Amino acid sequence: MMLEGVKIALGYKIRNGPWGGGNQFLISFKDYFESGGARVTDHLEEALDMVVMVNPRKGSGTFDYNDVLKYKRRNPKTKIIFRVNDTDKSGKIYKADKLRLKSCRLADAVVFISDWIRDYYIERGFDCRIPHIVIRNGADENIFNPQGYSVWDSSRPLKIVTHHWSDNCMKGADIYQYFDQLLDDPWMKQRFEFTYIGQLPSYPTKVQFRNTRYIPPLSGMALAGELKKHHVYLTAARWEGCGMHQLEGACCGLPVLFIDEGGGAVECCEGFGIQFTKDTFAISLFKMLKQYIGFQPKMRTFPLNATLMVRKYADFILSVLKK
Amino acid sequence: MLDGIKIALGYEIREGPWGGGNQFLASFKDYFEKKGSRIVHHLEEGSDLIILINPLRGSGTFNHKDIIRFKRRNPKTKVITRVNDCNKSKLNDVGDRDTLRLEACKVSDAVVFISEWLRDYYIEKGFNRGIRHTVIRNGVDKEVFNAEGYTPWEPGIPMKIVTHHWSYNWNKGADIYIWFDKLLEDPWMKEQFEFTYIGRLPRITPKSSEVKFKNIRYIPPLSGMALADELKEHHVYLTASRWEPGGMHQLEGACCGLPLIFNREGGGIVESCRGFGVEFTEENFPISLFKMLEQYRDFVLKMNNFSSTADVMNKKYEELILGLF
Repeated sequence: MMLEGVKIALGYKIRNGPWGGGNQFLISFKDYFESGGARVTDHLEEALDMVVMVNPRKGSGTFDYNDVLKYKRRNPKTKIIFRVNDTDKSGKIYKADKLRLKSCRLADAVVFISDWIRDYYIERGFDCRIPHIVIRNGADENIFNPQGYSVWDSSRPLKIVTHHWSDNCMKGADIYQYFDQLLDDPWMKQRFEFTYIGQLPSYPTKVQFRNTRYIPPLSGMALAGELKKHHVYLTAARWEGCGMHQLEGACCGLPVLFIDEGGGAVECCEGFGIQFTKDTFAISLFKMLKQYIGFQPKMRTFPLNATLMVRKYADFILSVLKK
Repeated sequence: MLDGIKIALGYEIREGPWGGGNQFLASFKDYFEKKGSRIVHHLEEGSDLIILINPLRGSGTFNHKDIIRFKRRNPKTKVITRVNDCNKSKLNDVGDRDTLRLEACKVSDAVVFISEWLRDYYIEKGFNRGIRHTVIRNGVDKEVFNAEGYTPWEPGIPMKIVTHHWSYNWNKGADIYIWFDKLLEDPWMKEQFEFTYIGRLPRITPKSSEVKFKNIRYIPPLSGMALADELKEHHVYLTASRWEPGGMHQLEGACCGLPLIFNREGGGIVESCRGFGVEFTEENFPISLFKMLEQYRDFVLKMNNFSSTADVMNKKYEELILGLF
């Protein structure tokens, strides 16, 4: 295999348990590249063929922008790929758009994790002459697949689920709380159930639910098993670079209710569920009741899995290494 | 016993699409004249009974201060104040008219509130419960607003929803109608629902421009048979009006056979609508549309029992008046 012997540094340590999309990416990436014969390290060792920078901010990973800059000066032949997976718009405390744009200028090539995030940085001055590509996230299909998913039979409440590892209210807290309020009505409770898995939104304000079933953070098979106990996935997260949570839901066979302000999440979900706005959220629930069955065959074709994603990375990395 | 009684009503009646107060006057006049009473619109000597509707100077033909002077000369004349409005209904600052109404109550032999909600509102504001008082809800003319010609909705076609307002007051539910208009941008929603707005379009202030709807059919103000006929072209009546003292529009819709979708913050409207449709809050309005799709059959059968007619209302006024004499 052409990856044989390639030495790649990824700027993060992999963590176990329920962490965000970036961690999922690292796991899939490392597995695939190592099985292809590449050597994947999380530090800037000598004689690297490729450095993949995921977060250029100081202290956020095992190396940052300045480390890569210094390394590149010493090792000009080492190629740098910057994977751009976040924006200041997503509500993080630390602002890093400018640093990301600076990192793009240092890179030999840039991967944006969605069309939306690419366009976001183009609007902010990204130099389109820098080689770049869009590779969307993908969920591990060995874990997140429709095996064991039970199709809703319309005589029972439609079970809707979401999950978030972050406590940031930008992950859709306003909509989840609104849904919780709608479920005050017993008539609604006969038709819908809602489960929230993960860390409860608490930043900047703490959210509490009355009618929503809450499950603490889960990951891997336990998460997939829980998702499959539901019929529909809901994501109200705003301005996601791409998002992983909705892909995990969709890969488990759940049609997706997704917010129009979802950033990169929108392009992943289009065709596999129903888009809503803050104003139309309530009607999207009823639309899903009516259209649910129509989505079932489509969900089997949901394409955003980890194998597909890392293959694209492999192709892209090899093309960059050839230059 | 009403034969020969001279009643002074504090308003001139207007023709055409005017608010609930005007409807009341027309119906009251008609009923009591048929009973042999004489209705006048000014404080004429020899009046046996005065009905004060609005104590605001300049809004009617007389106010409570005129009544005080009149009563000094004519102590035997009885006075009924019909309380049909409150400050809470008005979005813009109109000054403290509630205090004025409470003052008017003090010169009355009896007070009629047009809803329990309005009665409780004034009790909270200091209405003296020692004054004889009762609740008589509005009623509509069954000769005009009846279910003859109403065609119930059948699943498979869009449910036609209608509202009508003679006032441009934003509190008549403009925010909800704008929301409905937005929801109808979705073709799927258009397959389920249609919405018609009859009347004066909402404005935030008298000088600001009217709201422009994109997906709502608009019909300029109508009244009488033309209004009733138009209402009957629809299946369901929607009122999003807030803090209505009693409301007339929803009664006209309901008397035409249309089940109601009504705002929980409707004030006096709520008690007249309960049992005849679906209640919504500011947050769950869209849900009420789908609830109505499901529960319409049950409600449409109940509409035959809707009894807020002018006849019922006028009989209650008759009982009250006879009790005073």
